[in-house]
Amino acid sequence: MRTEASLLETERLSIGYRLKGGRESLVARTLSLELKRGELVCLLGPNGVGKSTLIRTLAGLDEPLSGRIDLDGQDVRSLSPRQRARMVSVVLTENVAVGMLSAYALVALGRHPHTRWTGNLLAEDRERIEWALRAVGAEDLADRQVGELSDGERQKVMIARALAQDASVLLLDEPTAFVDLPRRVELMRILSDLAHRDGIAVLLSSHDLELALRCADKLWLMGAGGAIQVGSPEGLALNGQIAAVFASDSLDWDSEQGNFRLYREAKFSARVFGEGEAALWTRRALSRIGFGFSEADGPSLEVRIIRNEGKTSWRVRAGDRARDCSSLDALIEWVQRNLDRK
Amino acid sequence: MVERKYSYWFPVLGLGVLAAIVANVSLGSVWISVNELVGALVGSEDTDPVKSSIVIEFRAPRALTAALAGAALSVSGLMMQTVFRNPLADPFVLGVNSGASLGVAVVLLLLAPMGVSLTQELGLSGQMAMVLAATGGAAAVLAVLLLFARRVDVMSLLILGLMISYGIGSIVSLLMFYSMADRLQAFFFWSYGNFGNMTWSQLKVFAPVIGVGLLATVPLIKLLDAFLLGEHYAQSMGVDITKARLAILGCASLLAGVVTGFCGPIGFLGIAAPHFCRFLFRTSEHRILLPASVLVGAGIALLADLVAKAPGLETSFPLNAITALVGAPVIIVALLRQRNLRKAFGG
Repeated sequence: MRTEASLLETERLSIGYRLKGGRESLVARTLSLELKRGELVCLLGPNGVGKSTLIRTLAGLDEPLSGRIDLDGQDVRSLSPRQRARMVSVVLTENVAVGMLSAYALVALGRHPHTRWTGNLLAEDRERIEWALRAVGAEDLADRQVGELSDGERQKVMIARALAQDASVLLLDEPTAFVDLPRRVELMRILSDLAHRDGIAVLLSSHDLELALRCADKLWLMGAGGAIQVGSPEGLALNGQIAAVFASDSLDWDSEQGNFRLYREAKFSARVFGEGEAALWTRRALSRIGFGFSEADGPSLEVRIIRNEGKTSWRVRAGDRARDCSSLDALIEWVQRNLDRK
Repeated sequence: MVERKYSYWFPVLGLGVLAAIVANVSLGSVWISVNELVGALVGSEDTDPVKSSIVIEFRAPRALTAALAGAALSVSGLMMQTVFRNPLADPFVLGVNSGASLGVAVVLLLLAPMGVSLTQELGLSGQMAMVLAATGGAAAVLAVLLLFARRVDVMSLLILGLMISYGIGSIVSLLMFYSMADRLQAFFFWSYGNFGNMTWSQLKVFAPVIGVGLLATVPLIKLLDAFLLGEHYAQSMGVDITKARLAILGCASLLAGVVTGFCGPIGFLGIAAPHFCRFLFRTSEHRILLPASVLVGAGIALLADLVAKAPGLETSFPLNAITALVGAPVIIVALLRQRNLRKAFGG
């Protein structure tokens, strides 16, 4: 389905480090990947698998060990650093010391590959800087000192700097790493807008599986050994690839919920009667304190969720003891107290 | 919009430097009025010929030297602080001053007692021999470090410079240990720094070299800005890191090395002046900081030299003691006003 030429394409790319004495430390080999216009791609994988190395290699900060990278159909080795910088921009994971700069001045640095040797900003440059600030919703930060911004605000400004570079490929290494959840969602929305509205090819590495599953057009799933599976988030979830890459002894992929579950051996079994949110969180609470929900063995605990005049209450029964609880906290407390007695 | 806020500081600083030059020339063991000063400069017949000759032969070259050296050290310090991303980097982080001191120590403490005198054999004045020795020593250290600059990252370079300084320092102190007191005194005198030894014929070399060095920083402004985000970002914006690093470090060390060669190792100025500019303009952009550093560096050097001359007193002070006295409070004030330097350098 090649409706559009790839903005970035790799052919048998091997990444890693060159060590002393000509030896190589290979991170991943023979990667053939492509990024298309208007695509938001999430690079997912456990820690230390080589996501940063891949991003840095694609950005031109590390040399590939072998293979080739094409930007817009041209081999990067035939491009000058300046030409390359006009095609790929990057937001790195390192928390940079930005100096005493206004957000505007920081974003203006992105115009580096476009301005002449004096670095003077022309009207066209200023337009692009203002567009970049607007695109990430940071126009009112323009006059603030970067050192005074919150982590989320600074990350927006760093993305705006990359956008000001006017490249059609935007690479981000863990852009949401130091940011709280609402800000993370906001950043993902901004990135997805940039891809879909402005036609930029966006590749970001992330730890945040749930968010990536919801936002990405495509996943690059990097497993141990550096092999990369490419596909839609839903497809990779359905065929069990995500579970294979991430699952471990203590983490269980829940394919119905589309997320991971902390795996705990169930000591007791329970049955929850009821629907909706209340039932979901009741099950979660019970599983946290050691209950499983298998139908096989007779349940040692029964919880019935009762809705009465808009109020929710829990009727809980364990053997011959029973109790009505008016809150989930009260239920948890009762269950724990009665479990201890056993 | 941002520029307008800053613009009035430049005329103020310019006038300040001008006033500092006038004060530096007028005040000293002999006081010279503004009328006499103007008279001496235009060659008026009414002016006392003694005072006229003091102005022309001694005071004017001294003030000019101070202004140029201050500007050079300040710009050099600014570039080093940016490239090394370290608020305490000074023009001498790569060890050019230790190279210069080794050169001078070899001439004064090793060759002279052995009966080798550059003064006689090369027909140089004693002062010029020191200048050559110091500049040569600085250049040698610089050459070694720039060779490394291609291969290691900036942090390693910083440590390498430090280690080379320590190594050379120990050689110098060995030379001092085995030297006679009068030789040592000459060496100490050099190490205090001095703007007053410059003659017009030396200025004919010094001024153009510093001028060219300062002009050479103009095309580096854009590169220096790119370095504000660190080398990785600079690289991602199309900067050839190795070349840029060589150009910036080369230029900065050249300025510092030449000043050290002619005036001795002058401390503190190169750290303090850029901080003062950041504090004044509240920015790290080099198109503002660089010209500001030229003016502030020149101004501080002129004032420090004026204090060192101790007008009205029967004595004078070592220049380096004064630059430290002037420089340290500037750094402290800048620090307190900015709350912390991490804001200026992130981190």
